Parts: sequence; C-alpha cells; structure tokens
Amino acid sequence: MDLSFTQGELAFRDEVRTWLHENVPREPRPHGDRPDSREFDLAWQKAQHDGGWAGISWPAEFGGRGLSTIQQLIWYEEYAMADAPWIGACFVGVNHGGPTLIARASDEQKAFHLPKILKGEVVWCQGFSEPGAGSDLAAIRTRGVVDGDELVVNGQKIWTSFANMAEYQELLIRTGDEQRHKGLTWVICDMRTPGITVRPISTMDRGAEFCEVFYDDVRIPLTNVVGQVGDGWSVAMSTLTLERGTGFMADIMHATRSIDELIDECRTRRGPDGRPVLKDDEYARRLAAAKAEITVLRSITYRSISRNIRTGMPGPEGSMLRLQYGDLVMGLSRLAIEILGPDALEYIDRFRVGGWTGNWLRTFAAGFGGGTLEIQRNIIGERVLGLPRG
Amino acid sequence: MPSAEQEEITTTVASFLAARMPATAHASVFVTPGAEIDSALFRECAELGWLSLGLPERFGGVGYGLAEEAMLFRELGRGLAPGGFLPGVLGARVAAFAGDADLAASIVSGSVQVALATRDTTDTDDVSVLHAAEASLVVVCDAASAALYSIADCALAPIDPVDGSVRIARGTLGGSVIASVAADLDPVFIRGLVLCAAMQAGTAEAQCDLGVAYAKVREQFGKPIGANQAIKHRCADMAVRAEGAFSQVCYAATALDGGAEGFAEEAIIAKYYADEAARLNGEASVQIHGAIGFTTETLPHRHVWRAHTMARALAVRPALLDALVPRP
Repeated sequence: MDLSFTQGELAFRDEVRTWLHENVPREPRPHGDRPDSREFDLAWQKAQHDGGWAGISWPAEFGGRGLSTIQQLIWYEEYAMADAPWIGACFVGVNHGGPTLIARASDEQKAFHLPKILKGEVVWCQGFSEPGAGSDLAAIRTRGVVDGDELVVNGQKIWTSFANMAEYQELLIRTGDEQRHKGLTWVICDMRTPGITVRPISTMDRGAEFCEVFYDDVRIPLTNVVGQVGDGWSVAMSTLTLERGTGFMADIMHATRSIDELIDECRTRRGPDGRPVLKDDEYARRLAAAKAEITVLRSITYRSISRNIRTGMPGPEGSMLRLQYGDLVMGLSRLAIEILGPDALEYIDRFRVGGWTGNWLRTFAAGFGGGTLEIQRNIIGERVLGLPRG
Repeated sequence: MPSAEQEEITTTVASFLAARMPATAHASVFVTPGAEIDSALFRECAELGWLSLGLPERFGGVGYGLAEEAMLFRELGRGLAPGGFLPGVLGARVAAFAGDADLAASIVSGSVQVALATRDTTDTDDVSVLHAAEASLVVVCDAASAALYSIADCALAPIDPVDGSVRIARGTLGGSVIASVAADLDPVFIRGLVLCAAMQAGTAEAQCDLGVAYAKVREQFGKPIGANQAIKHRCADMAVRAEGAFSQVCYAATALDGGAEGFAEEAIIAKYYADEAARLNGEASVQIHGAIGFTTETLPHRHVWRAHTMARALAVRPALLDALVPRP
C-alpha cells in the first residue's frame, strides 16, 4: 500500500478543486416532491459534462474521462469536500445503467444511450425489485413473452427511484420457464411506452423518489435487450465488477465532513444543562468515537482500492464497507439529533444547512438500501468466512 | 399485574380509538391539515374521563390512581392518538391544587385546552411547546413545581415538526403565572413523567407488534423472514424492551399511588427507559419492514416520529440520567 501521491496526482487534485470551487451550485438541491429536482440534477450533470468531468470512471471511448483509480479517488474526495450535490436522479444512469451498457450492450445501444446519460439529457431508473423480490432478487416474477420482434411485459416493480421522472429503465424480467437466476432478461425500457403506470410512494423523510411501476402488455422491441434473452442475471451483475470502491469514498468523505461540522457546532451549542455540548464528557467521547470509526472506514476503503489496483479484482470488502457504513451513518445521525435536543423537533430537509432531522430520517434507509444489513452480514459470514449457510 | 378494572380501561380506550380516531399510515400528509384534533371530539374524550381519571373526586375527578391513568396513556401512545391529553391532565391538577376550581373544571371538560411546555435548557424561559395550536393555556413543570401560563402572553412561533400530527411552537414563556402548585403538594412533574413513559411504552409495544406481525407474513427465500435468527433476535429484543418499559411504568405508578419512598426515582427511570425502548423498537421495526417500513404507507414511521417527539417532552435523556445519579 502506497500512501503518497505523485506530482501529477497532486496537480490533478488542484485542478479538480479549482473547478469544483467555481462550479458547484450554491443553492441546495430541491428536496421531496418538487418538479424542479429533475431539472437541478440534469443541469448539474450537464455542467460536469461541459466542464469535462462527466463519467469520471467511464472509459474514454464512451465519452468518459477514463481516469486512473487514484484520480477517481481524488475526484470523489474533492467532490465531497466541496459539498457538491447529491447525484439524485442521475444516479442510475451514471452509476449503474450506463456502466452496464458499457460492459454488455451492443455498439448501437452504446452510441445511442451513453452520450445522453453523460450530457444530462435523460434520467434512468432501475426496475429490479418487486413486492415479492427484495432481498431475494432472484424471485422476480414480472414476465416478458416474446411476440414477433417484441417482448410483451406484464407485472410490477417497486422501489424504482425516480421512475416518475425517468425516460429509460434498466428492467429485469423473467422471460424463460427456468427458476431463480436463470431465464431472466435485462432490457432497456422506454418509460413513455403505453401500458406503463407509475405511482410515487412518499417516504418518512418526506422524500418522493420511490415509485411503484405497473406493466400492462407493455411492448418493448427485442433490439432493446442487452446481452442475450435469458442472460439477464449476468448482465445485471456485470456492473459490480466495474465498481472499484472509489465511488464509496465520496460517501465516506461526506460523513467525515459531517462529523467535523458537528464537532465544531458542539463547541458553541448549549446542551440541556446550559454548558457547551463539548463540555459534556459523554457527547465529547461519542463524537470522538464517531470520528475514529469513520477514519477506520476510510482506511478499509483505501486498502480495498489498493488491493483492487494490484489484483484487478474487487475484494470481499464490499459488504463489509456497506455494513459498517450503514451502522455508522445511522449512529452518527442519531447522535446528532440527540445533541440537537429540542431543535430536533423541527423538520429540516437534508439538503439544507442544519438538515440533521431530514438526514436522520433518511438514514433509516441505510439499513436496507441496496440489500439489507442482515443480507450483508450473511454474505460476509457465508461467502467471505465460509460459514455454513443457514 | 393490572387489575380487571385496569384492563377494562385498556379495552375501552383501545376500542374508542380504533373506532373514532384510528391511526392510519395515510395520515401521511407531513403536516396534518386543520386542527390537531377536532374540538368536539376532544370534549367527547373529556366526557369519557380522559382528562380527569386520576384527579381526586373532591376536585371533580374520577378519583382513580396514577396506575389507572397510565393504562389510558399507554393506549393513547399505542394508538397514536392526537391531542393534548397529557398537558390537559397535568394542567387540571395545577388548577385544582392551586384552588382554582372553575379553571380546573373547564380544563377537565375539554373546553379549555392546554399545551405542554418543556424548557430548552434548565436556566432559561426558552421553551418548546407541544399541542400548541388549539391550546389557550400552557403548563410547564419541573421537580420543584408546576405552573400554568396564558399561551397568548407567550412569544411562540410554530415550527414545521418532524411529527406532523403534533402541533409544535417554540419561543419564550411570558406573562404572569395563572396558577401554580409546589411538588410537595402534588408531584405534577413526576406524574407527567410516568404518563409520558406510559405513552412511550405503548409506542414500544406497538412497534414490537408491527415488526413481529410483518416478520411472520413477509416471505423471502421461500420462508417467512422471521425464521431467520437475525430477524427473530431483533423481535425478541423488542419484546424484552416493551416488557421492561411497561413494567417500570406500572411499578413507578403504583409506588406513587402508594406514597412509597423513592417514587420520583422510579418515575425518572420509567421515562428514561420507555424513551429508549420506543426509539430502539422503532429502529428495529422499520428495519424488519425493510423499504416498506421507510414509506408512509405503513405505521412504523408514525411511531418513530411520535417517539422522537415525546422523548423531548418534560425531560430529555441527559437530564433524566443526571437526576438519577447526580454528580458531585
């Protein structure tokens, strides 16, 4: 593990910092059921594209920057330190759908879709989870039947973030009679196709991006299938091998910033006994412990990235990072609202200054987003440690 | 163990709540429009004795003990009932014990509503006030005494609350004290801690019931998720916390009713433990529900909001713990 940066990398960091400083939007991202949140997200994506920073980890031949892993890491660190906005509605296109297309799509599919994603022209959503297929994703039941040169899709997806503002969806459906991971197909679904109904679901943090999507004889051209019909599981999983852990660094740096801000705030904020919160041994030590934990998580991430660079393969740390990060952000926001005392009675959304209550409510999602923490523990126990399956 | 009479309070209140103000997930508008509770419905609840259950008969009350009152408030917590019943009960005692029988009668009848003020720090008049919108009086109390103020004389501004089903205002107490009572005459604050703890115990029980019920019916990998130890153990922990919370409420209430030495300490422990149980069971219940528990389409989030709010009423965790073991 090499902790030093080259002169070139240091110069790159300066370049990134300067650009972010000059271009990060000053106004907070609109939260909740606001039509302008889509416009905000796409405008910021376009700004990054025009500045030459879109697709930081995408290969150059597909319009990305094709940067080294270290440069990606630097970008994400600086991104968080500059308090740049949450990626929002652009998440699936930039971080999942796009990379999947890069790995498995035809040249025509790539040429049509990838530039639109990078330029901030379209929103993508993910149609994987179903009411009966959450942690158990392979239980997918939404069906696609081949009819001529089309797939006819019937069924239901849920937890489809931003489906109400998306043009495209990465849709995973059952096209064969086989069970579980076999007989699935990954297809690009145009959300404007007749037969699609989207119902938004509001969440306890007043978020409005979750949706339910219903498919009633939705006809999708077979040319939209990515990979082969029946090979959808491997297409859906291909993105995982593109992930080098660098994207996670932004979340960690963001949490680090939050802890430092909270500690600063506690120097002057008065606790229930009237003294500054930091004079309270309990809070001072819990804040210190939170700082220690996030620092360790940073070290795990660095080590993981370093190992990936050497071996070219993502290690087993993914689940460990997810688990530890989930526990940490939940604990941190809980500590913050406890410190806020009566101020925590007021709802302030997470994108606004002092939005600790909105942030606290949001972190309830850290327990299940992208797979429950229980499933992460099972993966660590069974696949990493080789314990018998339950 | 609750007596048959006490159990009857539970059944009666629970069925009234279910029929007349059922807790719904889709009251998920983040701030409920209109009044926190319809004033006619509030008076109807008052006629049922919800504001006078534990008030001595000589003051026009039903004359039950704190233990019976705690059974009522446990159900109000479990049922996510709206309305300032806790400050109403406390305010009626302040008026009655201060000798203002007319004021006590108007509070007990539900025609005058009371809000609940909690001091933001021990040494100022900065307060956070629950159930502020429809109240004309505000009750504020601590270990030494309890007092009623006119809400019109206080400088309060409404906030956008995390829990949209409770109207909250913050600001400064003002004007003169309308009525007050010293704790040695009637321990209003300590009674409030027990009743607030009873609400939180009801919340902890509700979250346990919701989580357990879901763990039994939600299937993944071909079996109910409750068959997995990770889920089963979470459920067991919830049950233990719920049991602990209500047991301590019962003990504290009975100790106070019996005039036992140390009832104040028991009440402080009841509030501390019930706040924790309600919070932790909320986290567990949402986690067991997964994404659906994070939405406003199921009930766990409303109990999370309510537990968060009530944990900031009367006394917060650090103050409770410091009162329990005062430091030199």
